Amino acid sequence: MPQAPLRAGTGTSGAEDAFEAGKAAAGAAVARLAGEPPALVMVFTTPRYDLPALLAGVRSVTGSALLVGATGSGEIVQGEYLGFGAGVGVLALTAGPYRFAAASVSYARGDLDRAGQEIARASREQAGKSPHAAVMLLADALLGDLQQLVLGVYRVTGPRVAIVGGAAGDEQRFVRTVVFHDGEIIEQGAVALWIASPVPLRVATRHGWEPIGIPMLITRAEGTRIMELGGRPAAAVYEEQLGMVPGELSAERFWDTSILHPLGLLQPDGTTVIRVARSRTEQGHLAIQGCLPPAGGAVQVMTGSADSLLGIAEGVVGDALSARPGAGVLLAFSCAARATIFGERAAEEPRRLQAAAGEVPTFGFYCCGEFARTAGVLGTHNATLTAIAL
Amino acid sequence: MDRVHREDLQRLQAAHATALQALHAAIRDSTRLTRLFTILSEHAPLDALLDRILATLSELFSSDVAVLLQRSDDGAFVPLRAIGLPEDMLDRPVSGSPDSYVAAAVETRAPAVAADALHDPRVDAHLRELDIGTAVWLPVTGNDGVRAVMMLARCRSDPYAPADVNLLMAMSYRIGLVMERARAEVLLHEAQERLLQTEKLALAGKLAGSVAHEVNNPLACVRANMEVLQRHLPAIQATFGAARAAAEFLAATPDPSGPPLARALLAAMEPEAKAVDVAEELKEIAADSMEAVRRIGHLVSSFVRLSAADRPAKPVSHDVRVTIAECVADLPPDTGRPALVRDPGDGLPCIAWIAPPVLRASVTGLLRFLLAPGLRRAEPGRPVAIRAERSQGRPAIVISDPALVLSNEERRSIFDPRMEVVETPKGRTVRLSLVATLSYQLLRGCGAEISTATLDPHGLEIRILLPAAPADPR
Repeated sequence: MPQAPLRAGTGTSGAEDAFEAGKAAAGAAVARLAGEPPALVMVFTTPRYDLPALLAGVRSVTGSALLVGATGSGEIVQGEYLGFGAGVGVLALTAGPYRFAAASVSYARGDLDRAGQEIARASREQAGKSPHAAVMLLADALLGDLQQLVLGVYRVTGPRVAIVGGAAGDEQRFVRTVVFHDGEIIEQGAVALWIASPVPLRVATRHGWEPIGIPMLITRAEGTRIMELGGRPAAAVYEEQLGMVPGELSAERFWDTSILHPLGLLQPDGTTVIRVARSRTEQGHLAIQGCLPPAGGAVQVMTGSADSLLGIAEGVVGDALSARPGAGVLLAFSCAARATIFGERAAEEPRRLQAAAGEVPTFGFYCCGEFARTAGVLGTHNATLTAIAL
Repeated sequence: MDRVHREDLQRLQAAHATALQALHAAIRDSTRLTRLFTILSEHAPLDALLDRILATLSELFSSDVAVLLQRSDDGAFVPLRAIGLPEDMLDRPVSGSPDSYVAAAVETRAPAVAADALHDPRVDAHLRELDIGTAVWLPVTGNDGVRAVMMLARCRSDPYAPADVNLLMAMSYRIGLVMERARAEVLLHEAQERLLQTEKLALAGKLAGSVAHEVNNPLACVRANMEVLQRHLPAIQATFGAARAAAEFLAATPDPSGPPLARALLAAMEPEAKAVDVAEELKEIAADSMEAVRRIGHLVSSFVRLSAADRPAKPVSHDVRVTIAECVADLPPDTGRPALVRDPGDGLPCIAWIAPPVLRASVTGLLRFLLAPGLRRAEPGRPVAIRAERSQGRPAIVISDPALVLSNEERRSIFDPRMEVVETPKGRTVRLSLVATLSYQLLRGCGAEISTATLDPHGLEIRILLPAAPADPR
């Protein structure tokens, strides 16, 4: 029996009042569903709002429809870019051929593996069995090693279930990032959206960075810090790779440079997974954003320009849409660091994504860590663009 | 000229590309090795360690599924740890039937590769449900054979390169060693716990001895006093009874000159008269006290016996030849006893060694461990021999295995190749496998030594030098 197509509607608001902003954005999104009730609502927003009031405003329109979302560092809404502090973006979806279910966990720091398992299991049970599925994962970016969260989800799903999503942002302040589940603000936690599907769903991911310098072994790492590269203090080696003298890259100037020169973790197939060093410590260590850099791994300092990073948008959309012909929406998760590098051209990426997607609405946000498992267990990325078409 | 430059440039570019490719391959392989060895050197519970190993292998070999399978009682293989296996498949066994890849890996002790796993009936149906395109099964060997099977699979038709498979094989061997080490550590921990309990008991025994000593003297004093009291109590009671009767008689006398004297006498004797009742109670108290003293005496005697039992036992001498006989009698039935030649050493005088029960058990256990693999694969005409002898002035047990050559494969069966092979005047010596470490530690703690030497032209001789009993004439 043919199933109803997925309908998607988006809306934005930059209203000052949180409730009114939520209500207006949700109203615009739901209005595009041709009278059908939403089965799923996604909210990505600037953190400046009174968040409970914002969600109340959204739900004043969408009622008890399932809601997931996060604070971000910029939003992607059907070709439009909402920059820092700009407002809220809402996506409303009918069920179409899918069944949606979500589960969340709060204060999960310290046992992210178990937390990942719990929310994947609970959301799957609610959604019920299906031939195919995907998990959209949203998490507090400041929880620690987010790969453990992905690993936990993967333990439950196995390889046939696509894993996609991103870590919440706070417009690069790194103080408080939250995710949403229905009307709740989830502190220090994560929310998993299970998408039960009759057709396979696949994740597309690219980054556009190129290696410079030589590959180096991580000889000492702990927590989310790289302490030594090639047996020497990591920060000094990093400076050396960039042609700087030791100590030239001060803690204050570090982010401005490291955002342009992330580390590429070498993969067995010759590709690289990107890791951004957020800061340097007094001991000369590199603090990596949200992912444990494995001791024994090899990294290369990378470089990229706005052109090379923007140039992947069409490829990602093409990969995602070719994996899901007839898609009703394209969800995109880009990195806040990328938007920072784009600078005045930041609006170009959402525009290019929408242009490449054509009639398919695009929706997403700028994250502090992107989730996309494509091969093996590694599913966390930095400074990367990832997408899934539904 | 331009053409020459262009060709040079092309050659340089090609060489550059080749060098870069080689560099990447070298980095990839060294990364794989360093990452895995970093994890293997970590001290963590076995489950956590295996979990990290599988996750790392999944990442390093782009494998969507990495499973460690363990043989169950019914011959099937069940997941011990897994990454990428959906949790509803964690309890589903994998077939160990003769035509399965698992069985092939176990049988040949070599990797088994499925190039088109998705359409291969030798791959379990539930694994094919995962859309795996290519898979490899690797035996995880330990000292006592194949311990487990590791499976890695990719959900795409990207076959594992032979170099990758070789590297995985080496890693699976290391994983086997880790599992073995973990098992040895558990055994060691249990032995330490038992030792701790024994030490506690010994301490309790010593404490009991000193308590008994402290309590014994006062107790004897109390007992003597109570006996005196009990002996004199009837006489005292009789005296008090007479006094009471006299007082009552005087009080009843009507003599007018008498009452004042009688009353005075009665008043004087009143406490003693009451003491008659007290003396009756005293008799019961004395009887109860004597019973209590008797019980405490029992307890003290027990303490004294307990403390005496913790004194070190005298060394027990034991004939090495009897030890060998005990070990041979205790060999598992499937170890091919006809392949064993035991030199009874009947002409030898008794070669005694200090053999308290724990040590004897350790020696026989160790001998079993050393003999069994050789006997299982002994060839006709090349039997394994065990004999007793005096070596370096000490009792010794010597095992000669002519089929045992120190190739890598053989070392995997019996010895831990991570240990150093040492050249000695008598031949090469290797240190003992981890599995026998516990027995070995116990033996070494008692002055025993173990060494091996190659036999000419083939084989290995294992020599256990035992602690000589004082009575043993040297």
